[in-house]
Parts: sequence; structure tokens; C-alpha cells
Amino acid sequence: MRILLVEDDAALAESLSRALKSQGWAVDWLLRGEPVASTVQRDPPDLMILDIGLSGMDGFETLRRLRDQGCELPVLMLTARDAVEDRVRGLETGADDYLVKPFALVELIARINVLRRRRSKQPDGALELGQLRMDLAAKRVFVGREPLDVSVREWDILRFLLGRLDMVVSKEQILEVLQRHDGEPITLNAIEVYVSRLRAKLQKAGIRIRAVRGFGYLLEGDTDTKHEEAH
Amino acid sequence: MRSSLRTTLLCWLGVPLLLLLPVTAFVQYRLALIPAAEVLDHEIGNVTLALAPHVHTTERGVAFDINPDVDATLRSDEMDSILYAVLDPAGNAIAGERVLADEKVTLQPGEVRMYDTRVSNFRVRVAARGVACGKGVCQVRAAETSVNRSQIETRVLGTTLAAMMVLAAIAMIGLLSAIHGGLKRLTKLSDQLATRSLDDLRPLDASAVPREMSSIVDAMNRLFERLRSASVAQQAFLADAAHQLRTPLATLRTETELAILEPHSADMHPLLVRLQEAAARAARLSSQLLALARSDPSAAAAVAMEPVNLKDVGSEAAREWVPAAIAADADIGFELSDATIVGRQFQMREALNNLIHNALEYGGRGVRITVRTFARDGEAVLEVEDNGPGIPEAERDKVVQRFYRPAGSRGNGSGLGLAIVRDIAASKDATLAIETPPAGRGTLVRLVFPLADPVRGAADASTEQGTRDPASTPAHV
Repeated sequence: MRILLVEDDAALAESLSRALKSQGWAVDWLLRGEPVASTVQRDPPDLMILDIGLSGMDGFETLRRLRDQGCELPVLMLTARDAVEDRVRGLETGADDYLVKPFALVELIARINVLRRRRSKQPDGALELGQLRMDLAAKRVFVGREPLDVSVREWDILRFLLGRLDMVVSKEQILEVLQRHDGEPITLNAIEVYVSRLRAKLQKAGIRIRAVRGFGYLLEGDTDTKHEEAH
Repeated sequence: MRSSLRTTLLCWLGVPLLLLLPVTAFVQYRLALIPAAEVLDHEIGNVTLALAPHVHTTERGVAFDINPDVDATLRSDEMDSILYAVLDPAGNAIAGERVLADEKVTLQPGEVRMYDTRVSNFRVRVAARGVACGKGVCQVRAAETSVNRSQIETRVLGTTLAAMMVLAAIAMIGLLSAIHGGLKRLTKLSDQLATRSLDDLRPLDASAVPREMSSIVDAMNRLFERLRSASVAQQAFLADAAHQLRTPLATLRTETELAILEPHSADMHPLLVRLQEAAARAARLSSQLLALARSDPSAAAAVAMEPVNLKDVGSEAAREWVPAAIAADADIGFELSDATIVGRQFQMREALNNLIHNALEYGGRGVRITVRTFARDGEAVLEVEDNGPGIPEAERDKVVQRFYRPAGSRGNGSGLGLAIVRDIAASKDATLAIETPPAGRGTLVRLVFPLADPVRGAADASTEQGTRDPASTPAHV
């Protein structure tokens, strides 16, 4: 994997480069935001780590230009400021995640891995996770080669969760999504039932939907962990 | 004793008024009597006029003849007695009551003079007319008792006094109302200022203020502006400081972590581990110091207060902390209901983040944490409960102090987390309580805020929906 690192502090950039390279990834480093758009176009990386506090054109502006170009590169923002307005603004401008300096290396690497998994949309318009494959055009789900039987609502929920891989999702959010497709009123209890059915079906594929007590769910993208009981 | 504006106005206006009224009443009384007196005098004068032709000059001197009927007619009056006397040029009475001749008056023929005197201890009004008789001047005097006059005087006095009382009463009521009304706007302004929170630096609305107070309001607005810009400057400095401090710390941390990953001799290892922990501690401490500074009222004042739904703050925390909880093998759950307060989003987030961080850090692996937000009895409540080792009662007062860490605590905590939460609570008129959960083990930290809109808050809690109008208007006087 090739990572583009945009960071104006040379010492930090050097440390980070070494850290990323130790994971077996290739790293290109840019000092400023101005050349980013053209560099990405010329030589697309797999992921970008972008510092907000750049000298000259700042991180937000750099990102905005990139997104305006229609570039869908996964972007992880770094910030020293910790103001949540920065985070919100970053996500609204089109960043996929953010990290506040100083951070633990394990944290950085974990988040990079999450971003890699999330944006793995196949060219044929399908969503994949481990053994699971969702063919959006044909409206069918497969585990390996075997088709998986899911109801309409389970389909909607699964699609929503796959689009929010590794992100916590509230029951209310799921409700909202279902009600957009469906005229009938649905209760939060009903959501619980659908998700638990879906969970049971996915357990066989080694896919875990974790329940966040009282709040919602989390579809875990890391399918390399041991297969545990879903409860 | 401080002087009161109200009392001063009352004295300066009321006292002259209350002095003026009796004076006016007196003058009015005297003036009112004049027409009546004139009429009565005129009547007595007419009596002398009627008597005058009866004075004759003979060779033997002055004589006065009058027949009894005329006499009776002239002296008839319902209320008063009428007396008369006729005087010769020498002043001796030649007819009528001798006692009326006592008064010495010199007159020309045709001249009339009125005067008061007493006859047998009765007050009488006398008209004296000069009549030509021969070479000298005789006088015809008629006197009337004052019963009628007295009655008139009493009546007029009565009505004048009554009118004065009514006028005084109306004037005092008017005066008090005017003072009250005029001062009302002043008390409104001072009430407004008294109920403002300490970090409310919004300008006062100068357009609704009377002209005399506008210079005060302007001065206050300039003061608020100065505080606000000082606060903004401080926030800007904090932001810059954060940036400057954190990037080198990030480098330090990354380098130490990399050093551990790279091959090194066994005796280097503990050194490197300690280095890494120190770097992590420095990182956490710097974050917390900045958070503490940001929560300080003077810095926070630069950010406007707005309606904040604690449920949303809880939801955000869920998204943020679940991965960390999973990594620590902790079971974190949320029971969130609408609870809207007036505050600052970033402070609420900060408070909750600190509480959850503490629960994870000190609860141990496998800890069970529950975050609750709800509205109850006009209050909004934010709770974080865990079933970790808990905080002993003796420590509870101390843990909210800055930099306090209980003896023997591990980890790289800064000792600032609860101090930050306490500062945030204080700036919102909220209470912070540290308790043992009902189950008996662990810690329950509860923040209680006044609800933004008590009536609607209760309704929202029961229907689980809620949108609110933004309450961001400048303060009106």
C-alpha cells in the first residue's frame, strides 16, 4: 500500500514515515498542501495522512480541493488543536477519520487499517467483507459461494452497516434508514429483532455485529480475530 | 446608610408640594370670601344711604326723624341684627345706639367707610357715611352683626380645605406613580444585570434604555467588549500553544514507540519502556492542561452559550469511545434520553470524555460502564457509572482538586480530569456528585444542570423527541 503523508514538521514526518514503513507500506512525503491535488492525480496513492496545521494552504483547503476534483481517496486527518469544531469541519469537508496529536502508533496503524477496509468498494459495485459479498445490482448476498437468504429489511440494515464499517451506529440511525425505504412505522424493538436475526446469519461467515448496550451496533471489519460466540 | 433615589425624589418633590398646598388653600379661601364680604358691605352701605335723607339741619341743630315702619324695614334681617346711629358734626349720637358713636372717624360728605368693631362682645361690621349738615359733616352709621358672615366663612373654609385634601391626595398618588414608573426602567436594568451569568458577555441592548442611562449601558458594553476580546485573544493563544506544543510531543512519542519496536539490547528495554510512559504522560498532561485552560470561565466566555442536548453529547461519546472500550475489554452501555441545557457543546463533550476516560483507565479490564442522560424535575442529569474499584469516600473531595492523584495510582493520568469536570460544572451552575452506585461497588459520577426549558424538558422526556428554538438573542433591558 502507498501512503501520501502531508505534514510540515520534518521531525514528525520522519518518525511517522519510519513507523509506516515498518508496517511494510510505502510512504511519500509532501511538506505543503499546494502540490497535493496534482500529485494525487498524477500518481494516486491508496491513502492520505493530512495534517491540518500546514504552513501556506491549510489542511482543510487542501482536502476541499481534492474532493472538489471528485477524488475519493481515503483521508486521515491529523490535528494538534483538538477543537471539536476542527473534527466536525474535517469530516464535513470530506475526511474519513481524524487523530489528535500526540497519538499512540498503534492507534494510528489501527485507524489506517480501518480506512483501508472501509473503502474497499469493488469495481463491479459490490460490497465485500471477509467471506461476505453483497451484490448491489443483483440484490443478493453471498457467503463465499453460498447465497445467504435475507429479508428486505435485513438487506437494508446490512448495506447500511457495511457502509459504516467499524463505526458505531445508533438504533435510531438504523430506524431512519429503514423508514426512508418503507412507509410503515417501525419500532426500536423491531430493529433489535432484525439485527439479532442478521447477526445469527452472519455468524457463520465469521462476521461480527457487536451490540453497544442501550445504544446501537458496530459491524467489526476485523475478521481476522478468533471466531467467538456472537453473544 | 446609602441614599435612595426614590426617597430623594419623594422629598424634593413631595415636601414643596405639601407646603404649597396649604398656602394656596389659604389664599384661595381669602379670595373666595371677598365677593361675599362685598355684597354684605354693600347692604350695610345701602342702609346708611336709606337713613341719610332723614338727617335734617334746623336752627336748633341737627335732627333725625324716622318713622317706625321705615326703621323696622331697615333693620330687618333673617340672621343678623342691624343697629344704627346718627352723629352730629361733633361726634355725638343724636339717634340710635350710642355705643356706635364711640369710634372716631372723620368723613367728608358722601364718603363711606367700612370698619369692624365690637358691640356688647359681638363682632359687627359698620358702615359710616358722611352727610352734609350745615357747615359740618354729620355721620350716619349702620352696623350689622356677623352671624351670616361667620357662617359664610366657615362654609368656604370647609370647602377649601376639602378641595385641598383631595388635591393633595391626587398629587401624592400621581407623584408616587410617576417616581415608581420612572425608576422602574432603572430597576429593570439592574435586575437584568443581576440575573446574568458570570460569563455572559453579550452586549446589553442599548436601544430600549432611557437616554440618561445610555452612557452607563455604553460603558458596560465597552467593558464586556474588552473582556470578550481578551477572552478571544486568550483562546487564540491557547490554540497556537496547542499546536506548538503538540507536534514535538507527537514526534517524541512516535520516536520512543519506534525505539521499542526496533531491535535493542535487553537492558535497554526497561529504559525505553519508561521513556515511552513518560512521553505518554507528557502528552496527556499537555492535553489536559489545554482542556483546563479552555474550560476556564474567562476563556470559555468567548464561545456563545446555546441549547445543548446531552443526549447528542452522549451519542457522540458512544461513537468515539466504543472502540477504546472494546480494546480494554470493557462493556460500555448508554441509556440516553433528551435533556437540553444551555451551555457550550465543547465543554459538555470535554466533561463526558473525562468521565469515560477515568472509568476506562481506573476500572480495570472488563469493567462495565454505563452513561446516562435524562431530564427529571426541571433538571438535566448526566451520569457515568462503573463497577470498578471505586473512589473511597475520604478521597472524594480530593480527587476533584487539580493535579491530585490518589496514592499509588498507576497509569499516566494527569490528575486534572475531575478538576476539569468540576470547573465545567461550576460554570454552568451545575452540581457534581461522586457516589457509590446502588449495586454497592464502583463509582457513579453525576452532573446535574438546570434544564433549559423546564416545561418542555419534561414533555420531551416522555415522548423521546425534541427540537428547540435557538435562544440566542441579545439581552434586552
